[in-house]
Amino acid sequence: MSDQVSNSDLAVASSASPAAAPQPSSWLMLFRSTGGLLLAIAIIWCMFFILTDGIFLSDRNIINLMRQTSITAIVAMGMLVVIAQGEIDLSVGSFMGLTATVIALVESSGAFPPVVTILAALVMGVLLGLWNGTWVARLGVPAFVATLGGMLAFRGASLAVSGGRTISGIRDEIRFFGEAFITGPPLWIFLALAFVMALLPLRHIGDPARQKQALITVALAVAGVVILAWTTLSYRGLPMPVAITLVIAVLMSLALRNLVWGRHVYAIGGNRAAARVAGINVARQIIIGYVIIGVLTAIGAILFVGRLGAAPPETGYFVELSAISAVVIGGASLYGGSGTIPGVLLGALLMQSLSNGLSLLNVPSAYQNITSGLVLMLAVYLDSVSKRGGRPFVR
Amino acid sequence: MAARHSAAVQVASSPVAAGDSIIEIDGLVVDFGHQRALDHVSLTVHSGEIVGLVGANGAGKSTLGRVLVGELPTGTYSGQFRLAGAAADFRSSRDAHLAGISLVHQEGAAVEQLSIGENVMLMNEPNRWGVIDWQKLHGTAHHALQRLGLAIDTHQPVSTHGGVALTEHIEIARSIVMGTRVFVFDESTSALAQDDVKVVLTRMKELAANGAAIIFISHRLMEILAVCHRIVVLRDGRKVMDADIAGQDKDAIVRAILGRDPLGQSSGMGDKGRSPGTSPILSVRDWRTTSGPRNRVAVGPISFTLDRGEVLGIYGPLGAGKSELLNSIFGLRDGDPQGDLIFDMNGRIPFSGPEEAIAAGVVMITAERQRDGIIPQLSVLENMTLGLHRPDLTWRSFAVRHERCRQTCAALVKQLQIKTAGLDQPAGMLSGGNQQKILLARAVINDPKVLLIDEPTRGIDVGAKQDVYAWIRGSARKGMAIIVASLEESELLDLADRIVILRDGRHVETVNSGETTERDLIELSGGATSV
Repeated sequence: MSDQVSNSDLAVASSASPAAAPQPSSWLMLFRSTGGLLLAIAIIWCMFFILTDGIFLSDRNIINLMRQTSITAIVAMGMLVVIAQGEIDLSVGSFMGLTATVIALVESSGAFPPVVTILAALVMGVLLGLWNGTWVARLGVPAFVATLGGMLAFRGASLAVSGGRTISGIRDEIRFFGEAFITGPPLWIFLALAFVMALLPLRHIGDPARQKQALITVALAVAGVVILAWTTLSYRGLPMPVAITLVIAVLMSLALRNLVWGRHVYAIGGNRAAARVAGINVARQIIIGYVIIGVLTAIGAILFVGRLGAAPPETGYFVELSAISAVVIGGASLYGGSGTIPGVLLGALLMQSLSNGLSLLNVPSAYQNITSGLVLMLAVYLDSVSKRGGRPFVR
Repeated sequence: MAARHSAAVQVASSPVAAGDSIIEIDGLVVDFGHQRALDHVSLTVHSGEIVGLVGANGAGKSTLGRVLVGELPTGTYSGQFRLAGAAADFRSSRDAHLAGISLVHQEGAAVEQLSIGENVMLMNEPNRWGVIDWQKLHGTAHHALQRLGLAIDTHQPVSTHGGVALTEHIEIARSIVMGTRVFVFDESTSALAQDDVKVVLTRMKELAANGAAIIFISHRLMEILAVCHRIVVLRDGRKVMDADIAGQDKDAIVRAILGRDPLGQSSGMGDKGRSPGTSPILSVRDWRTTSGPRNRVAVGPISFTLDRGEVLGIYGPLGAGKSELLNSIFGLRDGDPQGDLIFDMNGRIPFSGPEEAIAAGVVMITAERQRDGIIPQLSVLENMTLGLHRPDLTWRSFAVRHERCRQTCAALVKQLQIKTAGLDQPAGMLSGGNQQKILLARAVINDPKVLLIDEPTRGIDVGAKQDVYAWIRGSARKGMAIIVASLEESELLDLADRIVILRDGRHVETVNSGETTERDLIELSGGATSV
């Protein structure tokens, strides 16, 4: 996005007096908060629990649900960074397809050790980020257009390389990342660490201003760990993609909150001109954002290929849209400047719960797409309603 | 729609005779969440009358204005609001506009790409079966502008002229065409240069003489005193004064605004008159920049030297290139400036951008607080520490040290008397004066050797203004070199040791503020800039 574009947007925003900004109503605030998201997920889960005679909430299906969510969630965490900076990336789905094809070709050739495959994928992710970031931040092409171009180009490249065929022959080392289950002592250690992380907010218990928030967060996090422990211990263990997703989530969440870099993400999405005047290198920051989503998408491609054991030509279809949906449903604003990692995970979980539940009910995928689309529109609508102070219509 | 055109140009054609009360507000209450913005305010405005509406930031004057022009629709307030005797049930600002109440914005609102005529007739285009009657459009627009004393080719796009004054005239002309009976001028003069202010004030008087009622919201008491018939003062959402302007003086009004006696009026810097050039920190020689989309005016050649502990004023009317000069020094500019910039004894090439300038010790606070100062949704703390340049706030410029940030910001909130519910409150919720103080705090944290401030007190209330002045003086006394650009003569004479006067981007003269009056500044800066 060029400077002029953002300036004119901001000029419009500034015409409203901030002191007198109307407050959105409280039910709307709830809907846009993590609490509202949890409530929505709880309602959806209860609904499917009843409709599927309990199958939906079986340990097996919950593990399945988490596995299905993991790849979208990983890409969505990168998308959060890009969107919070006020940009967008539409190219990641096609890029995942291209990366998966390259991974499959390298693997099926058998000429290199698996570590080379993984490194190649990660390097491709970095290069994608530099490519998109340069077009957007240095050449000033609006992100929507720059990455739309990539969306077409990478899909084309992927089909050109694969010849439109499904490429199989993925070796066990790669399949490990997609298929394996963590069990036994490693699982116990993982759960213990998760439990400790869940208790971390308790360090603010002494501060009366943050006490209530900390208690609620801990209660929810502990509940999450308990569900995780129950399902993984009673079924086959913790799927590798889910473990990787959770580790990335913790790292990203810590980075966004505690690194200078993370602060700047929200600053340049909140008001780019102000961030620039404050001495933040906006172009570099945007490029770093694209590199992060590129690398995360490459990781997603590894997990996808690992789970399937092959790279079909339609790999990554609609991944960019699922990721954007997860970010927006998770409470981030498409206008930039907000959004959290827990929100994104819950957003991804909500979308996946819908399609998983509908699948269990044998609803055709055509109708699942219709549902996903409408839910996304509803989430963005609620965002814009809260932006204009709770008024349902544009005046 | 078409029927309105013929009668439109004549404001006095409204059925209300001069002197009748046209706006009657009684017991108006507006709540924002738990905060009461207006508390049982009553206001009557007669046609042909100019009422000045003043108060500190957050006193409720903008809220009252927003009710009047329908931005706060029926249902968001309680109390009586009658227009010409009938209940005013505005559901939107468009309703209010059609009913004859118009707002003239602070910076004017015009579509730059459209012609002047199209802007005047926006939403009101004369047409025959949907096809625009261009001749009639430009004829009516021309006529309306002529009534404002503006002979201008209405076919030209707004962008070729530009200027806040023109867009405000377009807004007024648009209202005249619509048959507006009540004008709300919301800080409409605060972005204008002296001469343009006079023009706009004259227009107000003429509109009132023709039977319009005018509500003039402003921080500028001298203008209120000069033009208004009556003055209404709001404080904390309540009306504390409603009196004829005759017999009122500035001090009484300031007391009503503040609810207390004003702090001792400043009498300038203590150490004025010391010889310049004793310890230079920043100097520019033959500095010039080109114009472009960011900088409308080409600046230069300009030469000056800034000493440690000095406050240097930059004065000139709107469009003289004050902001462009500061931007170009700070590295916010189009193209590369020519000339020498010597900073801290290093003859160096111009800063490539704010990042490099701040690293070197040059910090800027821009004029447009909302546009490129505050990030509204981030907290007070995050806004103050934005950029996180100070080494002790971070671990190796990598990780944030939260406790250190908290302590630093808490101390600054106390020191600058920032009114906030806490460090975690979003900065967008604060009033303009407190936001400006946040920007001062950010500058302090960046520990500048040279601070550039563009319009330090634009749109902030009297109390905050005094605090900002005190802070600028105090920082200069501690050795910070400060450049202040301002439209307000009195502000510069108060603050600055020397004043650089600009006119159409050129450096006219540098004067010592001790030997200069407001009149001198206005005359030297060239006075007559046409609209």
